[in-house]
Amino acid sequence: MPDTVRARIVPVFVLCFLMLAAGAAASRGDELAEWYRSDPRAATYVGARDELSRIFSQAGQQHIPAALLTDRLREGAAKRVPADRMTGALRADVEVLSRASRIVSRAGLGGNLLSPGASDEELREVGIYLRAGLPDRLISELLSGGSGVRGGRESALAACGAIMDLRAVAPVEDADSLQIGRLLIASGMQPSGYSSLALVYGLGMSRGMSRDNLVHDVIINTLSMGGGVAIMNQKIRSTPIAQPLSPPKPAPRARPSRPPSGGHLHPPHQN
Amino acid sequence: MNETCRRVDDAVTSWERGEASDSQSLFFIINHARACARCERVYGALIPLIRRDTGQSSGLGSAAGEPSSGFTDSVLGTAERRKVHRFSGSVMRTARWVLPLAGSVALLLGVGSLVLQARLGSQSSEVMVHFTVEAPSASQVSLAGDFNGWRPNELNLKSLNNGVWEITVALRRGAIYTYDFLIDGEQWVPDPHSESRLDDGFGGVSSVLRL
Repeated sequence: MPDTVRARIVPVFVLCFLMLAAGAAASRGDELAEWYRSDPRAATYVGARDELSRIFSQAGQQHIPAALLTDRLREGAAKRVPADRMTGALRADVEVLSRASRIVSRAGLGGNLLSPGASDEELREVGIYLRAGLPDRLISELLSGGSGVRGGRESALAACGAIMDLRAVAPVEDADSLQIGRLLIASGMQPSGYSSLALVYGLGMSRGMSRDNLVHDVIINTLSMGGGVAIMNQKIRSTPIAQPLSPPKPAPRARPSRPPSGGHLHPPHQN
Repeated sequence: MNETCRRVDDAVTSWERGEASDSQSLFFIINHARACARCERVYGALIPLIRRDTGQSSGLGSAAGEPSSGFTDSVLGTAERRKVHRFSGSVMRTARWVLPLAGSVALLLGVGSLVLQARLGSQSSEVMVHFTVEAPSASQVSLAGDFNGWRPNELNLKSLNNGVWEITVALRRGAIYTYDFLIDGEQWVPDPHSESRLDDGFGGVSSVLRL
């Protein structure tokens, strides 16, 4: 390449990269100041601004994205919480997000040239699982199991979500939770379908099946054999109803009672 | 069980494994389950999930993929047909500036889009999510969550005249959301249908939804 051409290309490249860096720096900006400026509800918390600044500063030192905290500021302001409760909740959030950051770092999520840390979305999601009570180690092991696998990142996060939903309706031990999560990641099922495990469990419970039966025989066993939700559904339906849900009506020909929904799983939200 | 039912069994199994994501197969399952008592009984529970997968409303899903072979052939064909011109001296001088600049801009755009993709993740398709809540004595019900910056009174539910309120919102597949209903602009309540709930840290409870 001639020197004259090289001499022209280099400044152009440098200029472009400087523009890119300036844009990235500007996008980080001062999130807290922006929130005070743009959200009318922020006026209630003017007296707590110094404390909130300290919290944001502490979060910044731990590489926690300020946007995650402003999301929580918006939630607290919408719910009109007092200033001391707002600052208390944000301090707790920084602690949770710091744990989340350590977990995703250990799991190797987001570790590439363009995204050296976990994305805001991943940190926020892991933070929600921690707030929901999932143990750090369980999340860490599931995320580690998903790293390095194609689509494993999404599967691992979805598996954590499915475990969170399942544990909300069933007392599933950590070891069983981990096994179910790992089986889900390895199952080849669509991650968006993982959440139906909680519905499967609910259906089984409505038919009088025991926790152990549902967790081990229906869920773990089916996933281990390469089956999915449809097979779990069939297993539950092929199990005789242990006890009627409603008192039998005094009719000449009594029929076994069915779950109130007609026995169907209803994920009520998703079309 | 007839042959169609067997095909439905296969289609559901493929869908579960993520192999049959084309709308035709999914609509085949849904339509057959409507007409067949056996399949409705066995797969009725999965229909909402399958229907959800037919509702990919965003065209961005395909944009993330590779260009079609037809597109590639078309581009290559155009390139082959293009005549090679001899540049004049002034054009060459202009090209010395324009080409590096164009290359730099292309590089900038490429890096920018990769960074953006890394930050946003690969999930770009949307899901239509239907929210309902029973509030017979309410005069106004709204939905707020991190999907709308917790702006109350932005997503107002419609009353169905039986005490039930409803709204359908497009949300991103693969994302997790926290949200609540706001009754009469005063009372925050979690979604009674949500599987998971969360202590919101403010003395209340939030619903959690992962798509």
